[in-house]
Amino acid sequence: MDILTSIIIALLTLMAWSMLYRENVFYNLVESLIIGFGMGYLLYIMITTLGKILFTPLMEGQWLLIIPTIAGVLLFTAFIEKYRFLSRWGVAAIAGSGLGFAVSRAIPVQILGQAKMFYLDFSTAGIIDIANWLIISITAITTIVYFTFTKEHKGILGNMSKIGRWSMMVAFGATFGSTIGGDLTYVIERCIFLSRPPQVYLLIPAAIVILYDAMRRRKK
Amino acid sequence: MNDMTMKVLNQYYRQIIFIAVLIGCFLPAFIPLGFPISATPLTVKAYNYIEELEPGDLVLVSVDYGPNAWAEIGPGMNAIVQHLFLRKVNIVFVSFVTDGPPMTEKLLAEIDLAGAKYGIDYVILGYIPGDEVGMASFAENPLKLTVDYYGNNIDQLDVMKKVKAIGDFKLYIPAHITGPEAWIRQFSGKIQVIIMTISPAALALVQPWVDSGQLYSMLPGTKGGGEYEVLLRKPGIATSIMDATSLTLTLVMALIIIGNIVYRQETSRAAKGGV
Repeated sequence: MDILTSIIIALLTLMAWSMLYRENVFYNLVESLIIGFGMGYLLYIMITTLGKILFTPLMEGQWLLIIPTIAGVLLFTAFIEKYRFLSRWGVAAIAGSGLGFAVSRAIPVQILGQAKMFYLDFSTAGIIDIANWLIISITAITTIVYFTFTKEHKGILGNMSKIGRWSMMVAFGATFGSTIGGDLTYVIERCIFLSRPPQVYLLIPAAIVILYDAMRRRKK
Repeated sequence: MNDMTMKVLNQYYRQIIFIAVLIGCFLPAFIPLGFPISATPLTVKAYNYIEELEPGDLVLVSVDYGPNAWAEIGPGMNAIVQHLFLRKVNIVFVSFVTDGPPMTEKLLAEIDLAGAKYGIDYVILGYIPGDEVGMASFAENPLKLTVDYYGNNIDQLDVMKKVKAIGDFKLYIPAHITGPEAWIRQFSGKIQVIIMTISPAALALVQPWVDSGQLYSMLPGTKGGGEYEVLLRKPGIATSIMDATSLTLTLVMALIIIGNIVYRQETSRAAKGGV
């Protein structure tokens, strides 16, 4: 990475972080840049992908592709009130194919595949394996009970539902903890980048600008 | 704690937290602390599988994260893909998110390709749209695409000549920050071994799939990346990030303990009739 690129990246990072001090023009600028570049890139990748998977094969004689092309073009009728109903055909094609592909694989993979976890060979299993099996079985069954609303959660059903709720809270807690740990890496990775020369020298003027502004505001 | 300390902690607690986190994040960048990192069984399992791959084996890698997720996923991907190149396997890169292809290029620019040549040893197929529908289509026939990311005809690329069906791949490494269901639904059972590179936030979501055997192993975020770098004996960015993460999380734990002590003292003082 050459020096100029490093400095530009460091400047943009510091401009984005300036929001931690207060709302300012540098932050607004970098925010607009991100949105602008993001949308521009998305448009570019969509057009080139369409060329790769649609226009080129169409030109080569794969005429069946005309059907999804029409379904796609119909989506734009959403902008014309009179023909808006036609856009539903495009949406239906997208939602239907997505759902079809997902559901057809959900039963063998998500339901039957996961059900394998309940199988344990007790003749070879150790104490830890049996303990894990018990925890998995109890938490899975009680969590399903928590989401069963056909009968009022009272008595045994109520107790099972309570265990289910606690199981989910433990899982959410573990997820939240790992999320915090993961989020920290974003800041740390930037700190490591900013600590290297030449970008490290930008930290001093950045600190001076913030201190100057803080003092100026205090005087006012 | 005396009254003065209590007053300072009460009045400036936000500033104290900010400074502690800032020190935790920046200090290891200037002074490496070298906290020990030991590889967990899942990382060792992934490493051993790749170590046993033969040169020329086909591996599919899907880079399904953008620049916003690089800090979490990128270091781990750098380590595992570096290992693949060292093993001289043939790699097919694909992406099911729009940001994937440039992230693949970034990944390849940051590692040692060990003399691998584009088209002969590895190829970037680029972005395949449609999310799960795109995955299903690719899993059904990986040769549906006629050109690669750079517009080359895939019939002319040596790597792609080896691919006849999805089952030809010995290993699949998807890397993403979202829930793992779509990748598992479309590729589980079709490729024998799947090692997933994920965000630490998805750890609890992915573990059941590893337990059921539908996933071979996983590399959770930078922690997994750091462990992999240790196994590769090539300390890199993941090891540096783990140093700072360990220090910052220790500081955060210390702050939680101090916060609880202050809270206890305040409540007991209030119970005794103090202010």
